[in-house]
Amino acid sequence: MTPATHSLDPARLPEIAAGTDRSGTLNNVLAIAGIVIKEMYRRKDFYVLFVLTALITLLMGSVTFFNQENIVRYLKEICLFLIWAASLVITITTAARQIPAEREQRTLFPLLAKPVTRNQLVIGKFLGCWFASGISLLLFYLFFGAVAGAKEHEWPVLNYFQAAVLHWFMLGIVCALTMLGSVVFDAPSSTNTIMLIVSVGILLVGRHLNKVALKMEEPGQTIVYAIYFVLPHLELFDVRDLIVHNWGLIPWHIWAAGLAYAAVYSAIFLALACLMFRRKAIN
Amino acid sequence: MRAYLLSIFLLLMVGFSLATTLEPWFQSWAGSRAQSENVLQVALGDSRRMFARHFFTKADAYFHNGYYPSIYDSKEGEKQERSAVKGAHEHEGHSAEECEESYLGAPKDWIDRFSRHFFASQHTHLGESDCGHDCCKKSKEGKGHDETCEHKGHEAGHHHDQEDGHDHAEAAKAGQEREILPWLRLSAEMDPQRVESYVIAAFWLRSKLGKVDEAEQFLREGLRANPGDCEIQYALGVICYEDRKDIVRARNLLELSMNRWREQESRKPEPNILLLGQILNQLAKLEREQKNYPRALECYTLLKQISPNKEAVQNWIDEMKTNLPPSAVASPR
Amino acid sequence: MSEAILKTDNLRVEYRSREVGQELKCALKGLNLEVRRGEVYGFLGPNGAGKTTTMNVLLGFVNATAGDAWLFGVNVREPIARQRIGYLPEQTCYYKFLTAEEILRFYAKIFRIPKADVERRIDAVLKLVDLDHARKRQIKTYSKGMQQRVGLAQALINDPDLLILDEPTSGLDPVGRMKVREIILRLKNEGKTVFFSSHELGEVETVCDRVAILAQGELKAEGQVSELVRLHQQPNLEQVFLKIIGYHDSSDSLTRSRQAA
Repeated sequence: MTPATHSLDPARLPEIAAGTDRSGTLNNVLAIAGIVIKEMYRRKDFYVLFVLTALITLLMGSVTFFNQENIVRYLKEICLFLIWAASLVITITTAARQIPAEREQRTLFPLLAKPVTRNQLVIGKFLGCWFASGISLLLFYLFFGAVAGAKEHEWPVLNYFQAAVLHWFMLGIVCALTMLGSVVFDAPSSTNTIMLIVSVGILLVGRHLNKVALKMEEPGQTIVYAIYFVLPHLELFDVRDLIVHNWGLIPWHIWAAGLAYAAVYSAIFLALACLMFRRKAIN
Repeated sequence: MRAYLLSIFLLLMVGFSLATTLEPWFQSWAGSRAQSENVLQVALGDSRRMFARHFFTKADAYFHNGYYPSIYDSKEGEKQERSAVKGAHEHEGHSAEECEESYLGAPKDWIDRFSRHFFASQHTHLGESDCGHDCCKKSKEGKGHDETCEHKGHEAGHHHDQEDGHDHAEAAKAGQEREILPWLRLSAEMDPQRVESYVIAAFWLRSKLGKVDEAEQFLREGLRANPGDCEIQYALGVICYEDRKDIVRARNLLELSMNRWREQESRKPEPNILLLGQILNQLAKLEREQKNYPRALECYTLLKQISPNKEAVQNWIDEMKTNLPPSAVASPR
Repeated sequence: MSEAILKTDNLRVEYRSREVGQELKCALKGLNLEVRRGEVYGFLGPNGAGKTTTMNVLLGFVNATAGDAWLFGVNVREPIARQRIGYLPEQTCYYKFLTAEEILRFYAKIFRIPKADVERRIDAVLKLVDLDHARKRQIKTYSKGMQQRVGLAQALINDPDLLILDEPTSGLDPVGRMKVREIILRLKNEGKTVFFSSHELGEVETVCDRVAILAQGELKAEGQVSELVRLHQQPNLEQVFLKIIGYHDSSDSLTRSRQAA
């Protein structure tokens, strides 16, 4: 027993040493993640976006074209587009405000005065944001499945499962990158703006950078190709076309490889965030 | 407080009165600014044409089940972008195999190769019973499916069952072309002067979905927005002939569309020869069925001048001449 | 002599200065402190003396440039050093969307208090700080005084052996200040150690066993209040404080110079 855990009152049992061993790390990380999840469902962001998505989808679904029933793909596309937009907004705004808000509201000090390390704080915040976005994503996809199934009378559950999990892991990359941004930029608004631009930019252009590079001359070609290889290809996880147009399942081993790709990038960004946060003055 | 409210109300009244008084004077000076009753057109202005083009492209992408080149793809790909929606309309029975090669080409790197599992990377069309892959074709021919094949683009719910053949798949695919209709509708809404939206939507409505009334109604809407457009008149003529069996109206519409073509298209540096060919072909077919052989011959002769496949047209002319007595083939009007 | 619960050895902290031409600013210059088990230790000094910097080092917020600090014999750089302490910051802000109960439960989980004990401890501390009636309300509905009491509750949730309080009576009304004094004295009677900074020298005189006076990053005086008063020949702690930090009342010097004339 270390002096720090030795109870000065022999009548009381010593409490478990916190924060140093693996189980202690997991305990702290999960406790912090729980706070983030609580914050998400007590703020109005998610509910507003969900209601907006549902309203627009149901409105579009009530329109008929040329008295033709069972036109469903456009509805799936609109619904999935709204889900993607809403999930990006929720994830980025939630992740961007975690550390700056803790500093601004000074809740960081009583927390770090406990046996919690800065790394545990960053990882806990990340897990909380990721799980929170996962929960909101689950609700969004359940709604999507209900709407699509009502029109199509088909429920390709495995396809939706693959798409939802890929989407969730993509949000993991975005979350980790946003947390890194929030450590670099103090203002959440800066992080929000930059991250939204970066995410949307990668989703739109990421796949095509190699084609752009091949059309350029040196040294531009090398630079653009290097960026192409280094940046996280978020568009890999955008399988909306496969869902909208009823393509078959992605081979499971390819799907797993995609998840592993996302995990690696998330880990890299998270490690950088931990490193930078450890060196940052918090007072 | 009451004084403030009354003052504000009075100012609002004065402002409103001034606006109603000055507006006619302004219009007499600057002209009427209202170009349309449509809120969208007023709000978006000329950018609605951009939206219309986007929605039309979306319809084409939907026709290809999501497989579509982006603006970053090669020039060859851009040419191949020639709409299959339009292409299918112009060459009925055209299938995916007859389309040009993939715009994607060989993968350029491992990320490119890996990413092709995550988006539509096989060329298929809505309503086709296979995915265009060799193994599917073999299965259709009763040669069995290669279970080790990991081709992408295998349609959900598509069973390579030799006994059922592809009837099961055919049934599942029937009417899938309806999926492009919302985008064509939106495209027409955004840009009523985009004639393609009306013509192509009407084609799929009547040929694959059996919605002749809706097709005709939509074409008439297009004709109201584009008075005298030859392409819409031609499409209406086809409906009258093939669906309504109203020969007189069909003939009138086809003749009218041909005359309009001569007025509108012939002056252009690149006239739409394809459309003229279609009009002549349809008119010739109608006249032939109505036993008006001189007129039919006249149309075929004109068609032969512009058709890229002159041999086939000549064959039709010869066939008509050989199967009929000479008196039936009188000199042209 | 009882063991040293809190100890610093030649603690030095330097910051990068924002002023042009001045590279480093020294907030602490070789501070040597020792706080023994069971005592109430007052940490005094004018604004900018280095009190908060000292606390930041003890709590691991800031790394010392030189020297070391220990809590319960464990270097403060180790998270385990904070296992048996409670900290009340000067400005109390807690997660506004949580209730008092949820905050305490969260911190109890961090300390890995056994589930069987958590509810009992939460009830006890909420009763102690008089927040039992508002435990289910979110913090954003609390007044400043109530938030300060939540701060005290979270500092006590793990039944700490060392309490570090940064201006615990700041912003409180007289009733609130009295309650805080009572809590400090109760903790002292239970054998806890309290290390706190305050500008309320009257309170410090009442509760503290020993005090330290810091000025410009250096420890100027340390000892029992009565000893310091006798040593510096001043009527009370306030005058001792003013003398040590070098404060001269201008009205006094005018009177003396007039008298001399």
